[in-house]
Amino acid sequence: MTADESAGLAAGLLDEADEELLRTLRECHERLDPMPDSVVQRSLFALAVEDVDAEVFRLAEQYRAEPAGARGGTGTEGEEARVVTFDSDSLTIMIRISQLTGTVRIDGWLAPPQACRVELRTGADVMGAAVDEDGRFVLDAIPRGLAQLVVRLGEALTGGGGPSILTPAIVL
Amino acid sequence: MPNSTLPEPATSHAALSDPSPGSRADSDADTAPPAPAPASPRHDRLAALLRSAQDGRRESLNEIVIELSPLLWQVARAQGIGHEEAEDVVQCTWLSLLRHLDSIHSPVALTAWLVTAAKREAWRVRDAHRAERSLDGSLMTDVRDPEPIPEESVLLAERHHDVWRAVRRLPHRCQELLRVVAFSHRPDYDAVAVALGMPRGSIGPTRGRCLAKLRTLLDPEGDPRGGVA
Repeated sequence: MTADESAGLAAGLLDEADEELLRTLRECHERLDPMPDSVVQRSLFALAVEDVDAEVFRLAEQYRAEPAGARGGTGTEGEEARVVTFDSDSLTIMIRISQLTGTVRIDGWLAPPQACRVELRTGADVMGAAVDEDGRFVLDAIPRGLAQLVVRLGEALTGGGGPSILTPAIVL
Repeated sequence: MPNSTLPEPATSHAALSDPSPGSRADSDADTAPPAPAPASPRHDRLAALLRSAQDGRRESLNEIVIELSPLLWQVARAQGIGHEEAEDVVQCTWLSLLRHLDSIHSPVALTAWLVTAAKREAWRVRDAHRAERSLDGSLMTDVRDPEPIPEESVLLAERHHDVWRAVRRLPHRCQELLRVVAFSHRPDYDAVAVALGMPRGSIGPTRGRCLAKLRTLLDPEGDPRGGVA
């Protein structure tokens, strides 16, 4: 039995008027809640990553941060910053994204902390940074636009071989 | 929150058949059953894209993304999450697929896997944000209206307006089912309904009831199973 036939048996109740109704309903949703073009753009960007056997970080939380100056800690002149947290099955990564003049800086924390490596895929190239034993890393002078973080575990010393974890593409 | 449960759509019936022409010359061809008659040109195209994507061709995967993202968008939005969150859900669904691509053997199974995964991703996001919102009112993504209706009378023609008003009087479950089925293709209806959590065995009648109710709302005089134009 083909998929068409098996679906056809269960769909036997549907007639042409049902199909017409469903078409109309589809058009309603397309008008009232159109999918933004950025959905496909960001998905294609994220899928262009090399790692096919990676875990996925999911967006867990996102909020505007107080200006860096008010905290006095990071030493950036960022007027605007946001903090984004992603969870995977095994790790949490929190990044503070600061908008500087023309570029972007990311201060990141990986938990549980472990030395490894992160890469940031941007439209232009791939930037790398070491994650220290406290789980901290910094990526600076990042061009604005779409970007995706890839955490490569077990790469601190060997430079390869560990599992990787991907974030979705985010807009910096 | 860690969650190692990966989507396992109940699509065994769908996965049994892969009605694509046996045009490939690799090792699978030896073990594949004889290809039945093609289901549809679209189905064949998706089957070819799926095999090609499994062989590592990203441009084929990209075409699948372009084809099926609108469906996943509707699945996500039907769970009552905001625009930004729905974007992330669709993305994460595609990223998760990378790992599971090789275990999916037909276009119907692919659609079912994606719908299941997108719904679970959306639930995860929704639950996380609910918990969070009780702690912090300063979220950026504070769009919470599950069904925003922007100037519907301006955007919709009369016939569409009638259908839309009727649909919104249906039970939520019917609204979700019809919304997602409306973005699916007929060979996938069954698998999509199962993926949305409609009990197996009651899918046909459930779908029938939703559509019949809709038709009654649109034409109270008419026979809900009869030929409403």
